[in-house]
Amino acid sequence: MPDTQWPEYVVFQQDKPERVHHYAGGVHAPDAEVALLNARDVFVRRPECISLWVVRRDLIFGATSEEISLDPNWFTQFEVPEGRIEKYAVFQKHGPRGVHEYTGTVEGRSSRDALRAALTVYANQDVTVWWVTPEEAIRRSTSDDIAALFAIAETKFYRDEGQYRTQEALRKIKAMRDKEQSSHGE
Amino acid sequence: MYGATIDLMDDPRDDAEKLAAFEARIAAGEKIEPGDWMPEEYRKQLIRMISQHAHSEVVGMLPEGTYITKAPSLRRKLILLAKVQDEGGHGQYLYHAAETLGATREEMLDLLLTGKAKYSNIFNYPALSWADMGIIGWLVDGAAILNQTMLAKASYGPYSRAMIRICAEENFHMRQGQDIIITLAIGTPEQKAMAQDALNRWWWPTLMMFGPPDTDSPNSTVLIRWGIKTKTNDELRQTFINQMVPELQSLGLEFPDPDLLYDAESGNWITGPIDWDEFWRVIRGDGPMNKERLGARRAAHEDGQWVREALAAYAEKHEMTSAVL
Repeated sequence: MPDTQWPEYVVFQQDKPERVHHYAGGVHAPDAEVALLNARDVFVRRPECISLWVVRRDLIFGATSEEISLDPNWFTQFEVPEGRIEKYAVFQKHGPRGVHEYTGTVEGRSSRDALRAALTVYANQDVTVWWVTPEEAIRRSTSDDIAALFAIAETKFYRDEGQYRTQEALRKIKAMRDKEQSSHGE
Repeated sequence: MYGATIDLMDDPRDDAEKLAAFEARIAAGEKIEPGDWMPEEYRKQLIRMISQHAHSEVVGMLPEGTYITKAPSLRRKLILLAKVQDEGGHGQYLYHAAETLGATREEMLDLLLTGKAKYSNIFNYPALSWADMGIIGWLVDGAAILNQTMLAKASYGPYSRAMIRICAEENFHMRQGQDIIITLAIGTPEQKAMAQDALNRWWWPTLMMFGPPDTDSPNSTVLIRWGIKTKTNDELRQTFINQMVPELQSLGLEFPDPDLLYDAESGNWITGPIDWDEFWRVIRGDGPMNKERLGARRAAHEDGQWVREALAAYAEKHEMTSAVL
């Protein structure tokens, strides 16, 4: 079998219950289940995560605020398919330095239709890039996963640099050696 | 009209305008993001740097990986295991950052496995004792932190963000290395001799980690101009020397450099000459561990083949099931 590349999954991470999911990066995996496990290994080695979402990159539809504003026909010139109405998750990137954050959901008949809805519902001048993806395309970790995927990082204190009082030790050793040397000199 | 539009797009004057706008954004401290216009040379240099950096993280797992089963206590074993896992994760963040520039993970891995891509020269030296785990953490990760703290300010957003995340984790790596060396240096004479031996072997190679001297560094000018790097190789190397010399000397360890002296006027520690012939020899593949490192990487990739096949087969079956049911 040729060793060809698996699809890329975009990873969103939630740090605390009161925070929204934010973009963390990407992993490659043959399916969403493995993507979730890879995302855990790559992005959650430290206790700063309570939930992960993964979405195949090709199922995310995006547009920059700039390209939308430059195109006078953006809101009108596209065909809306007749299919069923689906729920879409909306992500916004704020300012030049932000990363995408989950904003909420809208309904639409296509990604483009959903993004048009998002632009009205979640209008915000600060948004630089919009992403929408069908809710169904998101594979989410569940509360049952917390113990197995996330809680184990909580007691790994040795990953915390603050656990190593090496600068203090170096200062003490130097002071002791200096004292020793000056008493030899007397 | 159609043809005119095409001509306009290919007009170098148009590119000159875009280039000016691009350079103005960098000068203003803005980050360049994946979809933004960028000169082809900027993209090329970034892919080269980020993928080399990713390879270094992945190959860097090898010298330390062999010591996981040889760690002197369970605590040290857990720490080393966590550190090696971090390196693997850092490689993944970086491959992802390079992907945002259009490089594919498969082609980057292929370049590494066929020996065409470079990775940090330091990993072509062998780890010979437990004390090397301490010196690698202190010196090698210490050098990496200086370089990465600079790159955290890089003009390309995804690279900068990966660096911020990596730097936070690397501080743990350096601290655990210091912890090992301090323990050995204040231990028995045999333990102190182990620390000294490790410093003797790693000191010069770590100085070479910052790359060739500025007079011989072909990429530096363009990297600094476009805000990818903000300091030169020699500037970073001097910062490193000034930081490391007094700290390790305070433990009673000696540097393998009879010419090392403190220059009170500049406040710098001045080393003897660095053997750049050795640097170029190792980079060209003739270092002590080049063949072993690449061999180990290839073996790991080939040994993982059946796992990838099994996962792909499962995914395919699962997809068929969910399509039918």
